[in-house]
Amino acid sequence: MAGAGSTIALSTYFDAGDPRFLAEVEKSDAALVLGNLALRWLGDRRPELRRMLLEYVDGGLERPNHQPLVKRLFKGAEAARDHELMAHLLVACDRLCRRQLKTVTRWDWTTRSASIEQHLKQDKRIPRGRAPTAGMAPENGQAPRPKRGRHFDSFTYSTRRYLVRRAWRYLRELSAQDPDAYLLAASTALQLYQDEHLQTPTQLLDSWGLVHLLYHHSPLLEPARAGWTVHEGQDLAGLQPAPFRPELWARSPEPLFDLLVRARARTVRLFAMEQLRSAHAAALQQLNFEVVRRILASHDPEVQTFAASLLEHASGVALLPVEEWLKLLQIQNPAALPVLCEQFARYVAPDRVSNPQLLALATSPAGPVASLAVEWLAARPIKDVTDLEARLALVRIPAQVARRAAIQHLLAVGQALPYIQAKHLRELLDAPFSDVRDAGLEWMAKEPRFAKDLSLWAALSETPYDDVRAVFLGRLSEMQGNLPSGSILRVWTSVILAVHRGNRAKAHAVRQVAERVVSSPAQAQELLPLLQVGLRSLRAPERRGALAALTRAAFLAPSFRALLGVALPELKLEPLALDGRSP
Amino acid sequence: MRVDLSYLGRSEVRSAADGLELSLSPNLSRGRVFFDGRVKDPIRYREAMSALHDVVVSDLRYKKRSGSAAYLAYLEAQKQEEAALSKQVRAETKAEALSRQPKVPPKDLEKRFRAMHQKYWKARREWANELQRTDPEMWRALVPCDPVITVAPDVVFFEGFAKDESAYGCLLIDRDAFEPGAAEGLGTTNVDYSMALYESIQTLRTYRPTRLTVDPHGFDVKVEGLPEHREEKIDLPGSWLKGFGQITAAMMLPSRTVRLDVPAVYAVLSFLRRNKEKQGPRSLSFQLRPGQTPKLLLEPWGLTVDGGLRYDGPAEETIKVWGRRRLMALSRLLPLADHVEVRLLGTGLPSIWTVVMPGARFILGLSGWTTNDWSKGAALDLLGGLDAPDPLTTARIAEHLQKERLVKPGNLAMTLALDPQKVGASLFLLAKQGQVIFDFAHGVHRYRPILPVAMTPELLGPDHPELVGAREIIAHKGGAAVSRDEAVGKLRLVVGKVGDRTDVELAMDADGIIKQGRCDCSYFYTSKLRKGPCRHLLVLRTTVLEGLRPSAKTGRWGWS
Repeated sequence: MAGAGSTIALSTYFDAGDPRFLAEVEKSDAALVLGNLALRWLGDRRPELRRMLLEYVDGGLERPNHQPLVKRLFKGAEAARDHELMAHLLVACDRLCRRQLKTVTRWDWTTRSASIEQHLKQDKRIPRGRAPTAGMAPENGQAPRPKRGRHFDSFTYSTRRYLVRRAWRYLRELSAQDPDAYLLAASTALQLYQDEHLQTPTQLLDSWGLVHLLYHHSPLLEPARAGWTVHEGQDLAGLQPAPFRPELWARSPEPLFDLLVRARARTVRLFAMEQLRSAHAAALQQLNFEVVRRILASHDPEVQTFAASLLEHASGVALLPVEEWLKLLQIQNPAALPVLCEQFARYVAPDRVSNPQLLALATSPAGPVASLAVEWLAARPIKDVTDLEARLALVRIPAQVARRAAIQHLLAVGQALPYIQAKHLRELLDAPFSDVRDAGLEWMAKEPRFAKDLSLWAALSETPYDDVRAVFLGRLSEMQGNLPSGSILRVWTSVILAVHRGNRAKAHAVRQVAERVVSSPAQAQELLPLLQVGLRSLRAPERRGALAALTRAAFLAPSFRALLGVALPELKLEPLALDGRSP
Repeated sequence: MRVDLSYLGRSEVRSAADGLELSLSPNLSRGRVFFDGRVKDPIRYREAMSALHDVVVSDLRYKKRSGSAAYLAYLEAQKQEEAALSKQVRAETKAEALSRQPKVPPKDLEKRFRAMHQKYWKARREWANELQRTDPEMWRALVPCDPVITVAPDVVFFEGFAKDESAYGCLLIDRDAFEPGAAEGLGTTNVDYSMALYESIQTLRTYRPTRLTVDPHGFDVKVEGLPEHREEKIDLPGSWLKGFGQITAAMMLPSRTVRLDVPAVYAVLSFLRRNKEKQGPRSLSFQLRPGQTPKLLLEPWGLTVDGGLRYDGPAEETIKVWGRRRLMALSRLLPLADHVEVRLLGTGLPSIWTVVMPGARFILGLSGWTTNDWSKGAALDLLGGLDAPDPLTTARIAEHLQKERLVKPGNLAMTLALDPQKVGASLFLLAKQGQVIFDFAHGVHRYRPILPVAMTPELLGPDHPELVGAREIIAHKGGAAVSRDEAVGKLRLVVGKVGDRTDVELAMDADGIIKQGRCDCSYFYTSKLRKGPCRHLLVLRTTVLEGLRPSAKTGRWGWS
């Protein structure tokens, strides 16, 4: 009986080669229908159906009631000598058997001592015993139906073991019949293993085929009926590659390079690296740069580091165009980048790299790359305003060490340039990093023509950064008369309503607001809400500060006092006599 | 649920000839949406987008330490190693110290220590920030799904939902906030978002004229194979999507609207920022009296803040909300705000905070608790009524909305000649499925598909069976009959009959969290409270907390 799947849809999608066919197969649990589909699917040469077939196998062989389909596909692939599908089946079968590491404490009554032993035990979730249809003959060409009470949704443990061994046997026999085909099938299989299936040592040992492929001759491991085990007293930490038919892997490094780039499991990539080092050491010393570049493109940091180590001896590096180098320097591996930078500096003369290219390198997040670019840029003089404006992009360098060097360069060069303007310094004040802003503020304070530049002060008022706002408030008294009131009001509002920090700046701002109320009574109405914020705060220091500022302003500006009487009638202000009593 | 994202290039702030261009890269696997308009006030836009960022990256869930055997073994090994090392170092240092003349420690030891300590922590913080900024996996862990932009005829709005599934942010910018003549392609799409973009947004200033663009370039060219083309398949958890739908649906429900002035919100936030509660209750209590200003009670300190603006609701009542630290997301908006409007659905239910600014509104939707547990979803669904929406009516309404983009609920019922109650139920369902959002400021429903497909129950996965059971009990058997409701120590003890189960007992703390319970059903017998309360406890709690009665079978809506 079909569950969520539909037999009609299955058949229709198959005939049409519809991409939805695979999803329909996965949904279906109609064992007989699926079983009958196996040979048709296997024999179909349409690329889309072939792709879906491989994808189905890669998805695992444990779908409920899919046993007839899986078995027939397996036997069909074997009979058709479909090496590719058998490689996929080997990988999928390697996930069928699962054991768990159990700790057992034993008591030896003769010596009266306890010992702790660890054993690999079968996963109890997998059904054991004989398959429900074992020993039953097909009925009228149909798959035998299991007797009532003997139905399993998935393969029994015995069948799993059988499938795993049979899949590996196919490859083993292939190695004797056709070594080239074996190497190809083994490479295909090795590329399919994934890290998520090899996360624990037990999972590795349960991968019968993988261990044969990579560690068949390892002295640490022992094949047993239930799967691979570790020899007593040995440790998996010392596991070294010892593949089945090592002479085939020693023929050429090409399949290993493929594995380095394409393998999805770290175990396989490590095997490829070790095998290359041990069996192809001479070839690694004479590699063409194209090969190294291909390996460098890998996403795995270990492989990138390995590729970077090959770079030193690779032929053709000296002839590499600058653009290619720039692409290489975009990789994110902290171990490979210093080597790459060293090679870059060795083979590329600084004058081959243009200013825009250096600026792009300098804004790289990688420290070594950015530092090298800043060093080369600093050695070049700034020609004109356009060049200066381009170089101000250095204020956004994310790498800290390089940024520090860049700030020093900009300050040294900028202060000597006659055409430097306030808008250039503004770039430093607006920078996203506090060290750049600090340098900019220091420069602004030091240089008289910038210290009182209104455009810079207006820029400071718009900043989203608390450190700059604090400096603005600190120096506001020097500039208060010249700045537009909108700018100052914006900063006061931002500081007084800042939730996260700025306690000192708040007190400063409240005092300044009160002073402004006294000096410009016309603005009192507009500024009163700012003082009320402090008054209504739950924090005592803020309340005290606001109350003190309000009182001072009220006594100094009688018009404001009248306004207070309307806005805050609950606030009674009475002058104290000299003895501290109310008159 | 798997969601495909496809972008051509990154969203970024570019330097253009006439200022800056904030170019947002739209998701190419969705419909063509574009926008190009000059922002009138870049600073307001900068601060509002930063607030939305704070919502999107917030995760205030309690981080439990791993209790796995491997972790405990690791801790034990660490402890032993440290003890051995400490013993050795102590012995060596003692021997060395004794061998030398007694020496006074340098005077500036404390100062030097502090300087070094500060340096260490600064470097650690910078490294964490750097990882957050540059590591794509970490970023995706922080922001499960990129924010959504909707270009509507009258507004442009951005929406995002927090990782912890408890906070929803929506920034609505009126079209008046852009210079006239903006180019537009109406619709909804995801936009590429990153920490680098957030930092670039901080560079917006009034002296750099800024254009906001949702770049349609990717729709016009064949992007496959281009180096800038980037595809990502993200797996969004069903609970995350459900939470998103529930919070947007909450906007449709009837509520009390409270207006607060900026100093009141500032007082609450600045106090919470500097004080940490060590024990419950941790609620923010709204004490409402018609004709007076609302009072906000901060527990457990018992401090009261005056709301500043008059409350004109129908009756005197107290409504408590929890998870108040999530309000910190509003802090950057306070200097720009006129006032803040809070829509309260009820005690322990979601609250919607709207910061009203000139030309823009920022909506912060908060679930009842920071830990948005599934059991609270029951109460929300029940508030929406027990009417099952008719699929055909829902489909008609969805189709109509897709065509019209925004409609008033009354007009919708008239245009389609439908029963207004049925329209309400269907709209509520569509909101829960992420298709519709209710804009209460304009009183309209907007079509806004959060995903290219509706978030149907098949996609989200089924509800928890106990939650389904609780709903059924309330729908068919009339909720709980409470026989005792009294304080026992610091807990509130409630005993009652729920369906065919007598003597169902529960004890809640002041925050309404179930601390103890007893029921004779098999679910409680096997798992107690470890896997959450059983359906009977849920019904009992819902009855006493939300005051739901079995007669409330039909929904009440925020616009009715």
